[in-house]
Amino acid sequence: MSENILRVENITIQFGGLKAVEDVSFEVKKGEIYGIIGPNGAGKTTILNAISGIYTPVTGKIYFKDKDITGVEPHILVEWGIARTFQNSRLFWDLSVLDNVLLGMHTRKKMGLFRAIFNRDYVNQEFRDSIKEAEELMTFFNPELVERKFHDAKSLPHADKRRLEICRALASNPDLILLDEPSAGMDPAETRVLMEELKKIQELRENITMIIIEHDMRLIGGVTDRVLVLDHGKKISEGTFAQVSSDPRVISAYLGGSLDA
Amino acid sequence: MGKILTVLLIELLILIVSVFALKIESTVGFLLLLVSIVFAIYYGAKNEKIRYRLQDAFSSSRRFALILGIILIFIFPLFFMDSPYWVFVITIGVIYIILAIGLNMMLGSLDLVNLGFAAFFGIGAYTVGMITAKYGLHLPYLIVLLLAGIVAMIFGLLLCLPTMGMKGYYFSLTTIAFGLAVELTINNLEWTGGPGGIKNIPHISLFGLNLGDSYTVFGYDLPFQLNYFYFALVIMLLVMLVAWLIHNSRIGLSWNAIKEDDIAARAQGINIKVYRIYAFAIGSFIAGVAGAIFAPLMGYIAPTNFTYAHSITMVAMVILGGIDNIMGIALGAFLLSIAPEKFRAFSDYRMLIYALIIILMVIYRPQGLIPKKIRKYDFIGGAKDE
Repeated sequence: MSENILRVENITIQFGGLKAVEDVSFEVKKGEIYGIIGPNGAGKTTILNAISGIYTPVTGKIYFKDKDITGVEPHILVEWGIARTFQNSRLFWDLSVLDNVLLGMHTRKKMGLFRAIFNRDYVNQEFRDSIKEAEELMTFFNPELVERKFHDAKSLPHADKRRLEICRALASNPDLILLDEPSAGMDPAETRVLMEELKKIQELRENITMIIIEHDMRLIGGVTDRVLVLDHGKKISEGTFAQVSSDPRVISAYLGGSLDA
Repeated sequence: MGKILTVLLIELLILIVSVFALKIESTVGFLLLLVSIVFAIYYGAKNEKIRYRLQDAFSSSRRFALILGIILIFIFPLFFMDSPYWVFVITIGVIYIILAIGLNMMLGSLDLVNLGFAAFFGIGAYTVGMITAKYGLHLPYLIVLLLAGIVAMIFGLLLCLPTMGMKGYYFSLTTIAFGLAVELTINNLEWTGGPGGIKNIPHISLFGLNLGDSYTVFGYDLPFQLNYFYFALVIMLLVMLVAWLIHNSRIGLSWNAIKEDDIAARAQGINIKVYRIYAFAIGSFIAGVAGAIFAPLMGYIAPTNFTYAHSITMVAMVILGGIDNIMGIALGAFLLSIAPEKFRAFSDYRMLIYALIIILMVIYRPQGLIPKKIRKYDFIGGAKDE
């Protein structure tokens, strides 16, 4: 058994003639916070979509806990322990804050048609437990979320929307959580709070592994153990933030120009 | 105590006004009444104080309000003993409430605009017609009712599977085609009686009672339509209960999540296919059951009872009443099935007026008469309120 929770082997993802991701491999250790950075269009979100099952790579394999998950449907991957957030918060806007978190527990709280109609004691108990758990989770991030639990998700302030999405992802008790630009649209103060919260997630859930896509380098530098750098769909560097940020290939990718210049 | 009195007065007022509205014969009088009701509701809803008092009264004595409401609905048709026709119209209204609640499982909960829902209604009605009239089989009625639901459900699943990946216009277009295909097939097959339909469908007989007979109670001769009203009402209450239970379970919640954002729903582990199958199966089953009450009540069914126009009316009922709100849907379905009868005085302009009302409603109250509410989970008991 390896200590790696996720192993991505030579994946290529292609849309028509365009190779969004080309021959990328990396491994993520259990309990690690792993960052993925790169200029716009480098293929970061595409990789996340492949890991969470939305895209299937043309070639290459993805292993999660040593199990081949290439091409497995997203809803099954959640059950196996992969949760995610989206780049532009995809909350259920017209549902309440509470309902959003309850939906995050979907895979753990099965409720069939027969039970829904004929076994209301079970249903009520299930909702009581779920609501209690959801409120504890929300309190951990921001007690205000609990106060606003019966409000539409769309009525929340921006930073709370991002928090709620992380709550919803954590509600499935994942082993691996994929965060796609959690700080997008936040001001520097809010981003600092977010960094603290991301670190706190590991206190809350021991052994949880996180993959974070970010543009905010302070956040990446502050929370990640290792970083993968992509450019034009290719892996150009990997290592600690200090290592990659002094890598000439990374600097040239961000600043433009060629290596030989 | 004051709250219970408020609920009692309001519900009695609604009963009296609706009886009066249906009974009034002068068209001008009816329109005046309609306008004053709209104004009363409009100002009542605008006035914070009144609105708060009413909401408070109804939410704190919910059980009383519900039981009283059911009792009043049971009394309602007794005001129309002099005209069996109105009892018949009201019964059709109840059947449409059942249909609209079935349709809401797709349209309201999942945002799948099914424009061929009348087909399931027709399939249910024809199943009963074929079994009881064409082949003259003497099965217990409840078995026939169940069969009508199951046959409609099978067709529902037949529509569900090929449309699995479809959304929006594509889905709606396919359902229009499905509805037309069913209607035309029934119309052209000799087996189903062609355009002539099925005649002489026997009345429902239930536990030794024949719903086609007039019964005499306390010296009053009750019209046979009243039997059908009560039977349809019991089925309606059952359907409402099931719809409520599903809405307030993880199934209803998952439906709403898929409606909001199917990619995000999948990312929560929701298997969209399973939930679409649920919606189609239950929705079309309910429509089939409605058809099984309709056929024996009419005694004669033809393809013209189950056309595209009927499908559109059902969609309008759900949208005008209030998507995903059972009381709203019931109100919308009842109003829209009664309205054409009240507008008979306008003769040729009847459908024009009907259409105008729908347009005005969509412009001024797009969320429906009684909009959907946020789930508060106050049914689980033991949970603290805010």
